[in-house]
Amino acid sequence: MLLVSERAGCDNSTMIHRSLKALLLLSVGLLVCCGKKNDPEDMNTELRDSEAVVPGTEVELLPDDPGEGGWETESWSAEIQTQLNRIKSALLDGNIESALAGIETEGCQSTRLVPQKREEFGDRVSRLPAGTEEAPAESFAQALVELRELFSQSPRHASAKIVGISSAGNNKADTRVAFQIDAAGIQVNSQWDCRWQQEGRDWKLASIRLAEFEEVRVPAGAFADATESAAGQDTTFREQFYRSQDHWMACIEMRMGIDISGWQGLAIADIDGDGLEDIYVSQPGGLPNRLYRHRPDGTLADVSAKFGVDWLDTTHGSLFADLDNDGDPDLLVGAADGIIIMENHGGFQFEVVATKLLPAGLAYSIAAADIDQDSDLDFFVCGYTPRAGVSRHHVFVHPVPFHDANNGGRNALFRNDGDWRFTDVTRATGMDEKNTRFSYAATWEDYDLDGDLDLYLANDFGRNSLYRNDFSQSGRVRFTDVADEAGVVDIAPGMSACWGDYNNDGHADLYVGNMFSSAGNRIAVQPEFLAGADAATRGEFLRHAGGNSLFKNTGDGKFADVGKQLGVSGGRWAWSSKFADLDNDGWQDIVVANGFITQEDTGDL
Amino acid sequence: MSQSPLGEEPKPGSTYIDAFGELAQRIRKGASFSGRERNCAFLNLGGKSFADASAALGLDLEQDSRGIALCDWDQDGDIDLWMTNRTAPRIQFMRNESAAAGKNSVAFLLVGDLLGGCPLDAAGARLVLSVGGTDRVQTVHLGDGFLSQSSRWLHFGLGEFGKIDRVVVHWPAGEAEAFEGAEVGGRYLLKQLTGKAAAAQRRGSKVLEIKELVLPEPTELARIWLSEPADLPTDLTIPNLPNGPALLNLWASWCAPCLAELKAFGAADGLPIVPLNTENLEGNEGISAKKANAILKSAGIEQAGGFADTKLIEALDKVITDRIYRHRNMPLPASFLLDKDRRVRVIYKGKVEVATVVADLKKLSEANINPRDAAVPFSGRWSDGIFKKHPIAVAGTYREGGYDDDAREYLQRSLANVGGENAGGKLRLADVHMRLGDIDRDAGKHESAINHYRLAIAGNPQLMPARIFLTLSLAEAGRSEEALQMVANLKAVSPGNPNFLNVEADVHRALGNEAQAATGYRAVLAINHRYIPAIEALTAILATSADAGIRDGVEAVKMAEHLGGAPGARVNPRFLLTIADAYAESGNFDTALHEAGNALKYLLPYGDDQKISRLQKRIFRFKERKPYHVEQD
Repeated sequence: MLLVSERAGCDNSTMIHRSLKALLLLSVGLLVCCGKKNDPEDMNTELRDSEAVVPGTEVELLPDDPGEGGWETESWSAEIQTQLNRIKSALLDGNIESALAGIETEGCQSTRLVPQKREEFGDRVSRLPAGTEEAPAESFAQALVELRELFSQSPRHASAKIVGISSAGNNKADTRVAFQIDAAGIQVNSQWDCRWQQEGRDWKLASIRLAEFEEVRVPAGAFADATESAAGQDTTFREQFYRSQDHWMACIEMRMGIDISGWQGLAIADIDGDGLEDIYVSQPGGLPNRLYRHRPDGTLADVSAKFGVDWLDTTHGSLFADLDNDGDPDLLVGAADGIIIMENHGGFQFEVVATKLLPAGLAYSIAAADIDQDSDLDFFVCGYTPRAGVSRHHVFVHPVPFHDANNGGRNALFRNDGDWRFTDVTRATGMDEKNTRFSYAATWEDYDLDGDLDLYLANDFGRNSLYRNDFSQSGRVRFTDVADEAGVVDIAPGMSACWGDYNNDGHADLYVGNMFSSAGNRIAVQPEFLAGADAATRGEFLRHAGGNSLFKNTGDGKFADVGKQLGVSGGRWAWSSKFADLDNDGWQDIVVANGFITQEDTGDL
Repeated sequence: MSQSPLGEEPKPGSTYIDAFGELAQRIRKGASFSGRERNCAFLNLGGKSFADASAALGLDLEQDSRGIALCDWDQDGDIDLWMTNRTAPRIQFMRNESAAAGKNSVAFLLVGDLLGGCPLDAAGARLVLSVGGTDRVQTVHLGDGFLSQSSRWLHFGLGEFGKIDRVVVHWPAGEAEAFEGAEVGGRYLLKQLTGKAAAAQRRGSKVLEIKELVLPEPTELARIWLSEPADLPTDLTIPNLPNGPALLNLWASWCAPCLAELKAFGAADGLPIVPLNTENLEGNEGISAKKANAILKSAGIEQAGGFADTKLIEALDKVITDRIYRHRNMPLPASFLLDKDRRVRVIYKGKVEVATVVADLKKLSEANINPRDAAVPFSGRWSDGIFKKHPIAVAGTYREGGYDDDAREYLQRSLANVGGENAGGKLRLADVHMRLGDIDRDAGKHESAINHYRLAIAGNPQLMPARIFLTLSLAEAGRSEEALQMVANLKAVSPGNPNFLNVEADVHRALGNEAQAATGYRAVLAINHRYIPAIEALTAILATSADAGIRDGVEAVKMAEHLGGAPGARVNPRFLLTIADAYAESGNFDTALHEAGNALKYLLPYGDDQKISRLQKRIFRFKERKPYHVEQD
């Protein structure tokens, strides 16, 4: 593609930098300025006695100005957020009238915030029908009282996020606010259009309109945390996993390969054929990977050292796969230096039988399939950064160009040649095209139902790839990246991918987890953002902040992104995502793991 | 424009790098970045739309979550979740309570069969379940999401449907197969080629209780054993530092835990403690020496104390920040165990037990401590020695993947580091040149290859492959006199050695002297009639020489039969093609086509375009009942 720098010319480079910096720094800026200082309760009791710190060594968070990126609306956004937080608290506490005194302008207009007419979706979900204008409420406070009355018990949690903001002239600002409030078994998701009037230092609510409303009711207690009863009796689990990555970042030297980001996954398989599935968990450098056997009573038993799989090397991804077709799962460990391949001996021990270095890549997700129909499993490894040891301790790599980077590590496809020999066939099979795009995740599926397995690849910063396998047609294991023509390029920071048939039409659809940034969305839509860049590039930047994608397989080799339309794009800063029929109704639901880095400074923004 | 991150490699000092750097610094100092986000769960409303039910379902965990692995852990008929998190707990188990007593779902474990062309794990197998006139499809995935692998069991929710109409598995590389006998609520093994759903044994019905998860309080206490000693600047003043190991202890009179710790130190025998008061930093007169000493004395500390100055604090702080990512401030108390060479070995943030210090002091004096094992909080194994990481192994990795340019670059860079004047260094250098020669020879860069092989031989005169490949490279470069001279030299080393005779024949062949080459290969075979390279080369010459006087179909077929008996020959496309050429030359085109077809079968999946196209042309030729001769390619 054409590079923005060439088109935009020198004059605009400052603007480009400003825009980029805004995208990168804004979220942090907002969090910092609104957050609390270090909470003394987080200090160890013994130290708290005197809050003892050597004078002069205290670390203060840098003060940050949300307007620093050059976006005036970001300052407004931060100020308006404090008002929204008041509304949130009032709803949770229930003393609405008194808590909201002075939050409105004289003559503030409010529609009802709970719609009178609803569109029903089964017995669990109802919505404000699209295009419906809700009737005026007696008052804003009354509208909130009605909202709260949906809850028979006190709501447990609420959140209000500004997802769009623009100036309306004369010290006025319009915001789109995503408002959510919930309790066990019930949740209300709504979108409010709010107009704010600046009066003195405060922004006051001049009008509020219900734009979207969804009420979900499910049996309370569908999911519950059973970690303690499954694992709490195991010492290794308590000592190692009841502590956060931040805890270990304060005890383990960086040179051991520990990373702040916590990019560690897990793999499930029945290692000993007892009908109970067991778990292998990756750990950062300096902490040993763990293998937990599943005991008949449902609890975990640590067998890591006994089974020889307690690797201290940094590990991100690992995978169980029966590579020798003897009926038990063998283990692939994506360690700092490469892939450790371990044979399962009768479910009692794993032995290193081979290793593979990567041709300039640090292993992330691993996915196995028989790509050449010779009845053994081959495997693909995402090699996110170019070399082990180069950037693995850093939080960030330096993608170039930012929105479509191709300076990452190489991925590798290994062919199983039997007798624990594996050959890198990435280039030989045509997969070395677009092969250095900071790949995080890969998954196999015969999306075109031609009888061979194809691979979808989620890339951070850049275009994703759909490698179509042509083995069934040609007898050749040749992969062609057809992401463009299939419509699954998804130019957004891709973190994860999974296949599943969400509409039960027999074709595998695709869900891709991306980064969703409220700040990015607020900024990237504004005309000043990347002024001077062409529309296509601006569009790509906007897509970058746009969230997850659900690609509907239309059965003709093409896909349509229905994520926004179907309401599954807002997965926040997503990592793993997965189709799963959570409620056994025969339709594939979606779960998304998210959140980048939570430290002590923030409230729930 | 020169610094634009959109177009070029970012340079240090550019706004772009600065932006990332600034963000990274903020995070290190404790800022969140997209933190406190709640995990999401979207309920599928009949395929038409989804509802955000994260909170209602109880899946809206505030963790920084990463991996998700699904499985019906308690085998009660619904899908449970195992997750990994960055925040504590770093592994979390979410039990699903949705199943109506296990009666609205069915689960299958697919097992492939090699006779059916499918790996046992059945990756990619697709199950079509028909209920109520609709089809539900799921595929076996080995790895998906992000860094995650879910169970291989396929779990189907059935909603209101009380009957399964049909179960069909589409095995990869195999036929579709229907399975009989599956009923609602069951768990079944579907073994390929059996056609029967076999009931799987069910786990005990014990259900994990929901107990409150009580995590330990976060702590800033830390004992950090450094994997490599940290030097302190030489110009530091450390008052009253004893000879031998020492425990620097930072304290203040207003710090209760410090005083308690000093008392414990004072009660212990012979700790080499150096108490350093921190109240007079930056010229503050926080406490008098007299008062400080009185406090130490009352704590039972015999040693003379002193005051830490700013420079010392900064140096100690730097030792921590150089090694440890997360370090906010220097707590009080804090202690540093120094070895006899005044290097920091262990850091104690917060109060430390005397027993810990005593044990660490003892450990310091032990010779056989693996410094890295001592520095990790839990035992485990390192992959040391498991990976071969020397330059030749790394270059081999690149070569295997077809990344010859990277291999060359890597080896060239390594030339500066291997080598050295000692014998070992020279041998290693020779090996690197040898590999560089191979890469260049494969790329047709004969002169460069010749140069590398010569350097290899200079470094290791015993490196026979370098001599052989130098000889061949010279021949390939058309430098016939030098090549033949090399051959003469080789033969002089070991007359009658078939390896060298074979090289001589190869040289003749490379120089276009096929008659001499054929004679040479025959000489090799006279010594060792199972010398495969000579059999292959001679077969090829007899079958495909441009010179009709050299060609001999009958002898070629005889040789080809030998070649076909070589280990691995029946799956080696190059050998099979040579065999086909021999039959074609003898006029037996049916066998030629059969063997060429075999060659294509093995070449096709992974062969490069050029080789495949050449082979396909050959097959076309044989179909026209024409043999192949060299000038015709």
